[in-house]
Parts: sequence; structure tokens; C-alpha cells
Amino acid sequence: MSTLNKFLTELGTNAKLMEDYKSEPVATMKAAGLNDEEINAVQSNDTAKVKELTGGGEYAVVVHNVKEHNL
Amino acid sequence: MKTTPSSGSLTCIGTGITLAGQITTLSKDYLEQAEMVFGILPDKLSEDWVKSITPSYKSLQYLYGEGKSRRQTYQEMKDVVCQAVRDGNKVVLALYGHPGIFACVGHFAIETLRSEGYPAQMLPGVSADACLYADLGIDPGTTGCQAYEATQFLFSGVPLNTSAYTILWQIGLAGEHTLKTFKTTQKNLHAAVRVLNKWYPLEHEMILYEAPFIPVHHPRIDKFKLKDLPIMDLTSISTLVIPPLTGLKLDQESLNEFGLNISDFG
Repeated sequence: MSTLNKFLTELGTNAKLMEDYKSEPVATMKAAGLNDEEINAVQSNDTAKVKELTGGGEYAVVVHNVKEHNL
Repeated sequence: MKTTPSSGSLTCIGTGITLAGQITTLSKDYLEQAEMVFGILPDKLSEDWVKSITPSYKSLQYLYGEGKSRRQTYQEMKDVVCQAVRDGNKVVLALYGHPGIFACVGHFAIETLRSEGYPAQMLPGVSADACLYADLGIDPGTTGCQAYEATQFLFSGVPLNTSAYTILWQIGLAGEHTLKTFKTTQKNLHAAVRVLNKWYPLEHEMILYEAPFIPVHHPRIDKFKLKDLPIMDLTSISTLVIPPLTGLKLDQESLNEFGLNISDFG
């Protein structure tokens, strides 16, 4: 798992890291070892770039229900 | 002669919406102990995370295809999962969100496997509506809440209760009836406005909501008027939230059934 993937995964499960990130996002990302490109992608809220840097593969996210149109 | 089922079993779990933090403790333990794990997750990042828990993870995303009916895709997904159980494996099917809300593959697999004598269960997960209530500050108990898959609602002609919240899932696929593509059209969105205008004025304020998949992102909460729906940027995860026109009111005819009067409520 890449450094960025590890950081984002840890962020989802670690309350202290999340609070550190909220108060000092760049310093927290640098401390976690993210490079400038990764930090810029996260900072600019560039979802497509973050997805690309985390391995891509943005799948279609749809309701998985074939009964959805059974009326 | 009826054959005895193997030692296989199935547990369907939900991984939640936002990465890593919304899986339940029990579901994560089933993941760790599974012999085979299949999943439908939203991106490689989520898959990386699940693989870090269980290297046996295999994505079922390859069964999707533009132009291929999702009806066929979901049957194939069910077949893959069921065969792994029949082969004697303790299988986990990991789905993002809640594994049984607007999600048919787990339900199909459980029904099939139970009919064949295999143990199969579903554990609850954090669903998109759970995130929606938290992010929008809505309590569905305040006025009541009705939710439909958008196209299902738009095609059905069912009446809306305008005193309650209305949630239309997959508004970005509104009117898409072929199950073969992942987007809608301007024509469909204008039709959706006409249908909703039967219950709500064109100036009624609505919300487009998208739950964040990645912890660094914020939820999308865009307010707009019904008439502007066709110009909104919609994605496959966009949800339309329609606040009530009116709150709930006491109804004397209903209260009569309980021997009560409106005046009893001060």
C-alpha cells in the first residue's frame, strides 16, 4: 500500500490523526510522508487526482439492485 | 440421493461509505477470518484497505460492462459467490455501505445458499442514508421520511407525502431504464422536474447530497431550486433530498379513532 493510501486509511480510523489533520493539514500530511503532489491533490479537493494517485480504478457506483425498475 | 452440503458458509458485510472507519468490529473480524473474500467496492483505495485486512480479497467489479445489463451482472456475481461456498469455503461478501440496502447480490446469494442448506447471514453496515442524516442534520423521525430509487419513483406514479422528507437515490440515473448505462439525459431530467412539479413548486429548495468516500473530503451539500435540476452536475452517487413543504399536522378524523381532540395537545 502506498504512503498516501496508508495515510488516508489511517485517517479513517484514527481520531487523533483526524483532529491533527483538521487543525494542521499540511504539517500532518508532511509528517506522514506524503509528497508535494499528493499534498496538493488533497489540499485542492481534487477527487480525480486523489483517485489517480491512490491507484485509480474509480468504479461505477450504483445501486446494486436489479429490482429497481420492477414495477 | 440428496447430498450433504460442504462446510462452506457465507457472511455478507458492509464496509460503510467513508474509507476504513465505518466497518463494524464484528464485520471486520469476519473479514479477517474468511477463507475467501469477494467484494464490490467503489475504488482501488478501498480495495487496498480490504486487501490489507485479508489478502484473499477478489473484486467482482470485472463483471460489470457498459452495454451489459446489470441484471446479468448481478446474477453472475451471485453465481461466483455461491460456487465458492459450495466448494467448502467460509466466504465473505463485502459491499460498500450496508450490504442489504439497495443491494441485491447479497440477498440473492443468501436466498440461494439457504435453499441449498448452507448457513448464510447478513450483518448490518453504515449506509449512505446513515451518512446523509448525520451530514445534513436531518432526523427522519421529526417529520417522517420516504425514500425511493429515483427512476423507480418517476416511473411508478406513486403519490408523495409532502409533509415528510423525500429522498431519491440515484437521481443521476433518473429515467435510465435499460440498466445498461450509468448516466441520464437532459430530456430525462426535464421529465423528472415535471413529475416532481406535481407535488412541489418549481421554486422549492432541494439538496443534492453526496457522501464522502475518502476521509479528507467533505460531503457534497448543494442547495438549488427544483426548476434548476437539469443544470446541476449529477454523478452516479448524487442523491436528491427534498425537504417537506409542510410539517405534520394533527388530523381530527384520525384522533377520533383514539377518542382524542386536537385541543388535548395544547
